[in-house]
Amino acid sequence: MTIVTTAFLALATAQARLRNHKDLSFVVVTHPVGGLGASQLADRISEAVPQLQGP
Amino acid sequence: MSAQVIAVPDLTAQQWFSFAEQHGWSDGLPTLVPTVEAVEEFVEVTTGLPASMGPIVPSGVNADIRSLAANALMAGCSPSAFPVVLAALKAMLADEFNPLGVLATTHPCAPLILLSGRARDIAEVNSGSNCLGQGRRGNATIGRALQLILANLGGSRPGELDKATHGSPAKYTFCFGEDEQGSPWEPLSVRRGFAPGEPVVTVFAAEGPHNINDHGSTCGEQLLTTIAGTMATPGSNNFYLNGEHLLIFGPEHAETLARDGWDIDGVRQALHGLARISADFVSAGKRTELAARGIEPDSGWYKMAGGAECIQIAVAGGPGKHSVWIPTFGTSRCVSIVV
Repeated sequence: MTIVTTAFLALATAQARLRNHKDLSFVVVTHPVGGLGASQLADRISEAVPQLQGP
Repeated sequence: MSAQVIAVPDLTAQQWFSFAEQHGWSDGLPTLVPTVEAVEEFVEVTTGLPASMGPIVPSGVNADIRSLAANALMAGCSPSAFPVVLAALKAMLADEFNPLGVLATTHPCAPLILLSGRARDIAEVNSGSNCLGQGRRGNATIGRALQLILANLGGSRPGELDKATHGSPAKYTFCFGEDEQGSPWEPLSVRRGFAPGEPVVTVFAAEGPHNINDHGSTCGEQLLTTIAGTMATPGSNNFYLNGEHLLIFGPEHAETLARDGWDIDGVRQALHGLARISADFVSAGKRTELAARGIEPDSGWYKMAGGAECIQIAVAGGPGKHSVWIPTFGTSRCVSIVV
């Protein structure tokens, strides 16, 4: 599974297509991730977990 | 993709500027009108070259020679310089240049085009005073042509697939020649295995130039101390990525070093040893990041990540006690090819 932030989703999608991974699925979280404190990072994890668990 | 001929209404130069900008074909500066007749002038100078350069990243579009020529023309290139543009494009599409990374990164790198041997004559570029600045058509338009190709055919548009946080003025154009006559050493192209005089293009994924002012040093060893101190900066990608540095020595600094017996290998080794960063200037968080990459200080000092072989050297510029340090993206290697 590839994790990407909202700011880079379009780029990640384009790169996946270029590298012949058109069906690659992404876990998308709010930008940014780098430089966050623990509580903000926990928010990102909360965003990611449901996507990892699937419908 | 094959070139499409688009019918454009009769426009003044000023109207064409707006028309091209509205269609997303401009870098913000005026472009020339790529008429069919003008494009054919460019195609004529490519006799013997392939009809396509292969897929242009990041779009993957397989652009034909007329599409490439139209962009070079729009940038203001002379037809005679078009083969240099094509060589630069081919070089930067090489895997070791890491074109997808270079074009997509948040880092402000631009494709720097360094010309050696007869490539400087073909392109009519400046390698002397103000060679990194304004004033010469070759310098101004060859880099711009490459950028228009990457944007208009490759899809590398700012904020879309080009995710540079700030970018750099170098992304408008970054092209110059080696001052081979003013250098006490062999040209970079010869050190990279090409014959003297052979027309060679070398591309780097480069930041803008950082000046190194040293009017005070009176010998080569002192000069290298200043240069190493300029290179040792914790905010550079070169600090933690195993990337290349490009040093452009002004002819006067180069002459001082050569006078004192310094050859290229000696300069590289000395700078690699001297370019150190005190751990006091590296934050706790950054130290943790570095440690995760296996980078630790030695007696309170960090070395720049790359080895001596990562320091590339050329001579260019005019009179004056200045040289230039150009850091790079890091996960990219310079590529040289014959025009």
